Amino acid sequence: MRLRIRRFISQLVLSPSLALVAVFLYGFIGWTVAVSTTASKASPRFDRFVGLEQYVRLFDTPRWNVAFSNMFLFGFLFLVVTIGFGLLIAVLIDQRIRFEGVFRSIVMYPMAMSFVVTGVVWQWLLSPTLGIQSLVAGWGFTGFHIDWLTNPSTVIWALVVAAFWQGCGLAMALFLAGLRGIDEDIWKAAAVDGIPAWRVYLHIVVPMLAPVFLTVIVLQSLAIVRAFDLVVALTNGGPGVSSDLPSVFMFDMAFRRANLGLSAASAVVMLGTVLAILVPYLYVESRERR
Amino acid sequence: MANWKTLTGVVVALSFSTAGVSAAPDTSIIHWWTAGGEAAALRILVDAFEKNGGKWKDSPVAGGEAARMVARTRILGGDPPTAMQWQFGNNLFALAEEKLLNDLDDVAKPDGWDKVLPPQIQAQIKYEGKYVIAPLGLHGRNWLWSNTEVFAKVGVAAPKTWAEIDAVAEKIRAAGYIPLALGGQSWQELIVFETVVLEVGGAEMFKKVTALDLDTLGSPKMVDVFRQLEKIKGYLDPGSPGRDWNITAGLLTSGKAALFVHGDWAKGEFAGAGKSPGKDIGCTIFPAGRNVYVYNGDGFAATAVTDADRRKAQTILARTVMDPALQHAFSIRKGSIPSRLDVSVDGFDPCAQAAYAASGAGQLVETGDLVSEPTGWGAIQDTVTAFMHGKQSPEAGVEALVRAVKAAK
Repeated sequence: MRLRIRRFISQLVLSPSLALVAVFLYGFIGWTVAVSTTASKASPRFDRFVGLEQYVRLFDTPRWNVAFSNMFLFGFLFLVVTIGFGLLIAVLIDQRIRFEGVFRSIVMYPMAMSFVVTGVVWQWLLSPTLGIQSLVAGWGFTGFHIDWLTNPSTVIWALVVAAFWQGCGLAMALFLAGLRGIDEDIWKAAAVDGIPAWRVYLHIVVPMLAPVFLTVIVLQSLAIVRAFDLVVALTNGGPGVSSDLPSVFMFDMAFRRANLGLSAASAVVMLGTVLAILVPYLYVESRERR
Repeated sequence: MANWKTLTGVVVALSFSTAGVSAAPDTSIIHWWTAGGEAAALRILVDAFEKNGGKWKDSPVAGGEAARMVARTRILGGDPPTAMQWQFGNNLFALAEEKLLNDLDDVAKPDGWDKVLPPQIQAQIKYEGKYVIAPLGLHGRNWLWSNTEVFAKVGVAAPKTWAEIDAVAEKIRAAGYIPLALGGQSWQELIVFETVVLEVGGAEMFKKVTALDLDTLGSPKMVDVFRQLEKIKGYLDPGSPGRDWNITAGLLTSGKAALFVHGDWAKGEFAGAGKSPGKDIGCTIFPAGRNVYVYNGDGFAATAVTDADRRKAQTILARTVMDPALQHAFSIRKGSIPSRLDVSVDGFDPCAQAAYAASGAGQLVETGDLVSEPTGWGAIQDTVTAFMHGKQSPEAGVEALVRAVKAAK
């Protein structure tokens, strides 16, 4: 009897938040999907059903194609750089060095910054007239120049560098936690067998960190799909549209170009991308738990 | 420019709009004139409005798009402002079509607006034959600004068309100046694109482009337009991509660049640098000889409120906005020209006088912001900026243009 009351109370307490999630999350997702099948312009119009036409238009729009492929390019580069350096820094900090806390804080601090601040900081650093270039030129190396922000074919690296600066700390922290979780006995056994430390890392420790890798990849991938403020602050999609990302496109279509239908279609495609990352992850997670 | 303002504006405004739901009738007036010079010009309007017996409750929102979005949200949420700054054309008609506006004919009829406004403007502010906005000022987009001192040093006459620019660009470069100052952001490049269309095909082609006519967009003449854009790329400096317009204007006033293609709001920057337009900075309605003044106009619209107090405030506002003395003082401060044709030009700089004469001569043509379907006009903007920063051939650029506009239709 008491158990039943308890269960009833917990369900009662949970239900408002469940209702909120149902309406404000799934309800609005459903609403967005519905809008994406209409020819809505400035305001939603459900009397203009057009089926999948907005999706056809979307992939006929050159700017969307640039933005969509940028997301994958940026995502790939960002993941490789963040995981590579995040792991490397974690391993270095794991060497029981002195002032470990100081180094950890230095790497973690950028995470406390909003993406807007990150974007502005790197915009100044990479600006030919204000930042690193003019500093180095001031030392006498006048031939030195960084044109990442003004060159359409390299601007994506500017995004990667800024996002890496911000996101590296998270990867490092997760990897470090993983490394600290590894049984000391493994190290002792390896030491007895006379295996060099780098081989222990490469062949034993890193494979043991597989779940951490998965977590880092999933977390960072979601950040990539959502990335908006960084681009707006750093490049505003430019030069031209060469550093555009889907979220920026979506915002522009909804609020500046008065095209809710197309905007909703791009939002649904982004949601699909997120699900493509999340669903396998949740599947693996749930299987492991069983 | 607009992006930041839009974002912050929206955030600020949304927090206001939820807090502002109150019982008393709201007499607030939404506008987006928040920056230094604009705010000073607005002050003139506010003072005149209050002298005429109105009470101005200020609701500023930075950024035009953001301000319009806030106004719309408040109207739909049942808490409309009494009046709001708004653009002519499409955006205005959309509101009128949804019956969200009071018409202003009870002021316009007795005050004879029909007789004092250019017919082009009347067409952009009347819905079903009734005035739905009180027009205030017009800003021109197709201006060519030249640094007089630089041209004296180079030893050539300041050009007035793209063909003349092509002829002297090399000489300017050889003398150590940037031939053309351009801020490589899509909205600034769009202005350059508009002037090239005017040079290649005149008002007729320009109107077809803003009407998003696919035949015109894919025509051989459009290839000529893109060929000219290709040439223009050679007149820029390496710092151009992404540069803000006011910094770009600084290149002209400081004598680093010879020419600048930008709207007349740049005059504020010239004045700030101590240069007077028409003298230190030469101006041409660009390209010369096309007799087209591409304008963007705004004024104040009245929301569809019914209570007597607010109706009265709307009437006073409309009458104030259309007062010739107010339009005269406001235009000088703002750098725009009056919408009325019977205002004295005393105190206007030579550029404003030329613009006002063009308006009187029936040379006004609307920019795409006013008359085009926004997604299609935006697609043109996207394609032009992609072309300016990419390695497409002019033919491929035109192909991309047609494809993007078609997808937007």
